[in-house]
Amino acid sequence: MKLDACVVGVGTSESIGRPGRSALHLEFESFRAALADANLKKSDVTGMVTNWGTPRGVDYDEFAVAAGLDLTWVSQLWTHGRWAATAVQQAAMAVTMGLADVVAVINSAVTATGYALELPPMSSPLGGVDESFRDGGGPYGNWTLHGSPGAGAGAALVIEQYMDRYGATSADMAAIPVTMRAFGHLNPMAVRREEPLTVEQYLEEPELMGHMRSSDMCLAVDGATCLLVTSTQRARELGRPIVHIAGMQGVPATRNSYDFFSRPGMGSGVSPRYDYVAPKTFPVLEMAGVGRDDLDGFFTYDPFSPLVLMALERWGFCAAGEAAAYCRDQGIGLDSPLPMNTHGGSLAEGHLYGYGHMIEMVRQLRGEAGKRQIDDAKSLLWGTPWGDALVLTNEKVA
Amino acid sequence: MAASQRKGEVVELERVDAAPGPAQHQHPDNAGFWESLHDGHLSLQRCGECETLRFPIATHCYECLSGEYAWESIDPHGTVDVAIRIHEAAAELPASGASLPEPWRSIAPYLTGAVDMKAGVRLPGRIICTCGEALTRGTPVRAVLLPASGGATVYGFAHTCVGTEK
Repeated sequence: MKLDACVVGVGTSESIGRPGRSALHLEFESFRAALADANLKKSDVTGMVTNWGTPRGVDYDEFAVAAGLDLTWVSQLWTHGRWAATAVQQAAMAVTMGLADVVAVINSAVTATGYALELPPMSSPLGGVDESFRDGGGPYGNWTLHGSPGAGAGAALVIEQYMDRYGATSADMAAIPVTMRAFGHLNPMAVRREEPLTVEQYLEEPELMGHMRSSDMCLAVDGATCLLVTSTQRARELGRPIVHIAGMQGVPATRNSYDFFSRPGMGSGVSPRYDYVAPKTFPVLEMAGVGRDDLDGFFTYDPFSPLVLMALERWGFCAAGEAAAYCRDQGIGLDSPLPMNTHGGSLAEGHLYGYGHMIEMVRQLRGEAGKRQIDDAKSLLWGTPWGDALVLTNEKVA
Repeated sequence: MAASQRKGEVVELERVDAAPGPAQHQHPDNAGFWESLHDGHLSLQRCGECETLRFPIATHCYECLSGEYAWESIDPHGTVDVAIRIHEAAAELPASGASLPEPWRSIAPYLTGAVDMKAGVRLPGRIICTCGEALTRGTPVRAVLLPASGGATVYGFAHTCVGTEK
């Protein structure tokens, strides 16, 4: 059966990062915004995929009850950038298979420094359990037991390996946070929209973990997102520009993808160190019927700057070891060969677990991105260092 | 039961003084690892069927899925695969999935990373080094016993600038 799914509505909470609203409150805001965007009513929504927020969000059943929904198909993951594409993929599969007509991919989170302060105390900023105390360690090659707690330490270990192996420098990596901040200045929702950042300012920031500085780390924010997914036929009835979910590729899981913030071959965690050569094409591109050179932009999960380097090499836009020089010399802005994370990414917009990127991809393909608009955008790729992906296209793709 | 058998020449680890980090939660299926540290040595599981030496700790072999294994004391020597300094300024990060929990927040600055062991596995660990040489990949280090909260013992690594083994 051929994939047949479109994103027909996108919405966020009324603000990103302004505390004072519960996760449920934020989720209602994003749901109402997406319905209005799609010209849909709540009764049109018959499916839901949600993630349980970090540290507190809204379970699917809580929201179905609170919003008075009548759903025929639901799924729930836990909140992590790892699952953003998978959540959209589940929605796409559900509408393709007819399990639901319109699926809301909805996510909300309140942070340890935001509304979670109003909630019962938790043993860690991630909630009740620190996953890096698992017997096998955390998903970023991080171990709280050994002093590398949390995702930031995992990213710091990877960029240390990268700089040591390829001779990249902090001055090279500076292009990433500086470009994301410049995009953030063009995004009225971005939490860092009014904070300037130059390469010189970046290099003056003290190192925090390894070579990672404050501007290499996104801000955790209170916020919510919603994407509405339906079939192409239904999408055509709604009078909004069509954005197809044209290609999908899942999260791989092997001992070689042990570390979610590393591309293959870096030797992170228990994974082997070798010379990685990206394939010439990928299943996600073949499913979408587009070549790597046809892509008009690349969106990737960027809670920390090093992930941008890992993703560029993972997906073959740069050879192994060349992404840092590429970012420095060619850039990742609108005037570069491949604009990235044009909303400012997690680094400038705030951490919306990757859904902020997907909302931006839809806006780009509708031509609604304002000063951030990629000229004549037709096909965009979401791809992560660990290897899941989506291709979104508009009607300009034959 | 095979799972409780011990094999190999037992190498006693040196105990190095350091600010105590957190302790691992122990349960029956991971206790062998922590008991061996309590007894003063670093042991990993070797598969009873295909003889693969494995890490992380797991009840079954990742190659052949056998549940038969023995704890084997390994050579504590290795070389730094990767090491980073967690700088003192990291203690100021606001609470999030990237911030430092206690006791690390109070311990910073310190070094942590991963070590390629002579036994053929890569192990994560805190690295005790006062001269900074251990930040360089390839630097020889050795596994040592470090204190953890509540009187527990964890393993870590020490550079030759620390302790009695020069």
